[in-house]
Amino acid sequence: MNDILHAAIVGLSSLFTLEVFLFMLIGIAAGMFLGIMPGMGGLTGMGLLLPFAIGHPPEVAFAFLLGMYAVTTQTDSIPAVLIGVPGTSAAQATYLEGYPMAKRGEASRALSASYFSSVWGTLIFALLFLFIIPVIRPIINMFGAPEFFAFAIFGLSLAGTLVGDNVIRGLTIATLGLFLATIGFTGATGEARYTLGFIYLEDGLPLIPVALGLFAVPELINLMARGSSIAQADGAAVEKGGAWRGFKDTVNNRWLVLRCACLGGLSGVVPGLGGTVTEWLAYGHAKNSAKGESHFGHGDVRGIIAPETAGAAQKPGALLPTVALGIPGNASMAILMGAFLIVGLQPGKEMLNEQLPLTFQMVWTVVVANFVVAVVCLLMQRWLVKICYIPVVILAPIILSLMLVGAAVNTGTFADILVFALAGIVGYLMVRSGWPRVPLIIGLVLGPLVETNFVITSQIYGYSWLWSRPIVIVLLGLAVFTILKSTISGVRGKNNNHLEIGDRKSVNIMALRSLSWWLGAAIALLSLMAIFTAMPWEYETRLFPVGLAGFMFVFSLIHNIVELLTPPESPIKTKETPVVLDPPNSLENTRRAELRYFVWIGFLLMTVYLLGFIMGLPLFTYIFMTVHRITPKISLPAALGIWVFTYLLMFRVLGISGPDALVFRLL
Amino acid sequence: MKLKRNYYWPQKQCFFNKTNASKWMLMLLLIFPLVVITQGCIDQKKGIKSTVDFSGNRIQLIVNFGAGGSTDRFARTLAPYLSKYLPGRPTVVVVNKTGAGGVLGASYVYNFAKPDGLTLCVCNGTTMRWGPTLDFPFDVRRYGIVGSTQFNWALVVNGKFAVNDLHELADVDQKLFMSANSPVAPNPLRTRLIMSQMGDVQFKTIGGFSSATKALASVRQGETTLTALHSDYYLASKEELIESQEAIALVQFGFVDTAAKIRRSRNFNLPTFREVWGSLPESARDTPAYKLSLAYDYAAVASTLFALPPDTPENIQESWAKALMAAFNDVDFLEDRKIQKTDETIFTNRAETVAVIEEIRRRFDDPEVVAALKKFAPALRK
Repeated sequence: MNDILHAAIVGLSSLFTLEVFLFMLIGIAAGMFLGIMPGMGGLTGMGLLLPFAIGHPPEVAFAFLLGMYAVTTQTDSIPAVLIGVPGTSAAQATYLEGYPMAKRGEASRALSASYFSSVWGTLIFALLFLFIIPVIRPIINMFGAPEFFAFAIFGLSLAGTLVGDNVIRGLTIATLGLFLATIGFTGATGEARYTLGFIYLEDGLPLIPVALGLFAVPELINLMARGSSIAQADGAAVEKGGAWRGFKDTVNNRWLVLRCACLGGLSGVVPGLGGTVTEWLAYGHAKNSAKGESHFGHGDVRGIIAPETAGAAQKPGALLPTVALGIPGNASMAILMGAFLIVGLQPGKEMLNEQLPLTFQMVWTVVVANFVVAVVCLLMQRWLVKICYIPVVILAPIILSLMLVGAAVNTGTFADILVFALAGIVGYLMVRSGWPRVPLIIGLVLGPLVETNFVITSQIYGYSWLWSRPIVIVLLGLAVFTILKSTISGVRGKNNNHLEIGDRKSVNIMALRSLSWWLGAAIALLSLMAIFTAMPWEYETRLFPVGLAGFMFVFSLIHNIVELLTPPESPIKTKETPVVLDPPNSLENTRRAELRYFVWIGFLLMTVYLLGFIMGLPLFTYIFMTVHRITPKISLPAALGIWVFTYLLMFRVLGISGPDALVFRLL
Repeated sequence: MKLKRNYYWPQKQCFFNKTNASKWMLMLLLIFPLVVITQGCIDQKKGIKSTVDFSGNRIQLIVNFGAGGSTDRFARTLAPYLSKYLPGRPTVVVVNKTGAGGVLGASYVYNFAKPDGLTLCVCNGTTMRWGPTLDFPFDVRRYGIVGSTQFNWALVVNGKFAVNDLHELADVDQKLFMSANSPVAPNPLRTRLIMSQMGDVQFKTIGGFSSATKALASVRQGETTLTALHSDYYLASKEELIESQEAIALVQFGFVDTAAKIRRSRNFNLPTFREVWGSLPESARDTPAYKLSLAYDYAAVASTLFALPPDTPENIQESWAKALMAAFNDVDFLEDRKIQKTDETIFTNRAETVAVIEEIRRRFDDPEVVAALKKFAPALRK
């Protein structure tokens, strides 16, 4: 133990040598930027920054890479909270509660809670690191396909608590999410499903463009139609003491922090378990275990603390199997392992003996980087939150540009942008007709985990896994308990299930019964088409999509029958008052304005298709602002800023150019 | 906080009531595209002039798999040496375009990249997929091919089996599960082909393992029996695997020459698949399964293509071919690869690669091979 403590101290002290610390700071700065940028995040950052790390000694290279990696999930909450753009998968859960808080002028509190949750998350798991090292191998070996499957089912059961007041809609959409996750190659047989002949779809629907479109586009359209700033407490002073309140929130919810740190850390340790699933699990857990007054869906700080803590704790968690066993905890760690090999280091026993100080230096880097970013962001907070008070006509083209760049990071083709746009339209229709969007994303996230592991499990174990594996029994037991608990509290009328932000306002303000019915009919039609398309496929290929489409059909049919039977005078009932203020104009005017801004988005897509990002985005920004009577003192620097961002930063430095411009292809 | 009113135009002014600033902006908007278009034309002209010179240019190596993986590490190690040997010493950067098992990146270079020599695909696995797939989205032969390299693979088996070769494994009285990304991926398929000739072996490929790490983890746990590992990954994990005794390597796919002869890697002494085929009865080598296996062996020669977009001018292709050859022979490059503890680095030159690709097409079009594909990998022939 003394050796381990000695190594821990040596590791910490080596972090504060000039070169290492300087590179860590550079990494942190890069990570902050990559986190803020929609679509980037730690995985993309690792890929982009790996070449910059090559050629340096290991302690410098890893301080740089891990400094970057550690903080991306900290700063990704900034756009999610402030401008409603959940640019990374990790930020989607944070967005649900953070953005409503920003709207009511509590951005500072939300961000502060998010930063400190990350600090606690990494710190707690870094301390646990010492105790987990000796048992890492048995822990990893305990998790096979049945455990992954049970974990996914547990996740789905928690997601069940997020379906909203209208359970049948929630179920339809969750099934739709799971169904959409079946698009692409199936691992079971190698056959392609529902790709419509597009290579792009062979890997399935990409999560980031879908999430950006589904969540951010309707918000932005609504914001533009209202023509105000994000913070609706317009003109109100920036909240005082928000940072301190955010910190206090994390302390007051210490047990939630501890539970989520353990959950996040563990899912980091077990390769393949982590990622977005954990953040949603933590969110679902926070919601499910919430005591006292609950504001989930309208800005409950516990809904920020839980996913942020879990997301941050994953990082030292994922580091552990990578260095100790050479088994990358996640995709980012796979790249880090590449860096190990490039600098000539061998992950494994060596890293826990001779190189133990370096291992500890890595862990400390994650902790210190989180702390540094928390401090830096808190210092910048005063200015950051003012974004919420900028008029939307100035902010909108900038947000749209960022979203488009973020959406296209996936493959860098126009297909990403089309998926983003389609998801935006679907998201808007869902909001307008009161359908929840969160279950769709959860279904999309959990779908591959459920199907793949079910297929693997059933082929290898038959049915014996259901009673012979303790972790499976515990997880499935928890899933059953969660479902029963929700059902019972639902029956007693104590169910705190709320729709996510965006849906509520639509239900009360502009829900259109007929639109909702047509959406149900469209899903039913899609289900039938999916079933008929899948008929000639092999059994293993069609099992899941056909099953899901069947459920989807039944749910959507029930929904539409209920809709028809509900008297048109009685609107769909909701329990809470709307959080979004009524639009200043009439419903008709608002709809017309929303349509107008859809045309603007169409114009943006056309501009990008013709001219690419580097020319198209600045041009769009300038035209949009000019037409909206923004003075050139603002529109010119904004357009220039977008150009600097797309050309100098994204293209020249990071090598991301986005889709090819048609004009240049024709030349 | 309230915004100052001067953020907006005065009420009566609008877009068409131009101030000096907006006139300047309009002029800039007109001039800027002209400048860019002119620059584009100049660049294009540069590309087709007779002497190839990439000075001041930025070359993109499109890697069709993710950052940190074996192909990516290989490309990043190679990049500075390409920069060194390409005329004009341009900047060479690696760009990962992943998706659809590497087809998306390869397809990007094929369909969208300009034939100006500034984009090269390091396309791993493309020939291995192009050969057997019925409706592959493009014809690999149309690329501006400037060379190829190949990677080796090892077949790793769960440690508890305590077997010394594939025959012993086949004799185990237990169903064998191979963890893989897809049952029709080349290496699981090659394994299945040989297993199909080893008597009454109960063998099933379990697809759906999204990464080699997950496939290996499954073998280490004993959930599945075996998996195919990239030899760079195998060599990096070798000590750990031996120490933990959770998994052992039994066979390697080996390195193939242009005459389709296979030899063992110098880095690990395991029999090759061809040797295992050789140890089977004569009748096993007179089967469509064996012919399909041979076709895959041949595809492996050029499994990682260095490909320029179609219609790239001959002189540019020639410059690239020379630069690649020089980079592969650079002792520092080989030393870098050695430090990374990777397997051997093999290069097949331009002419030989082109010939190999023609041969791959011929072999996979053989009716017996097609019949074997329909039997063993029906998903590829749909």
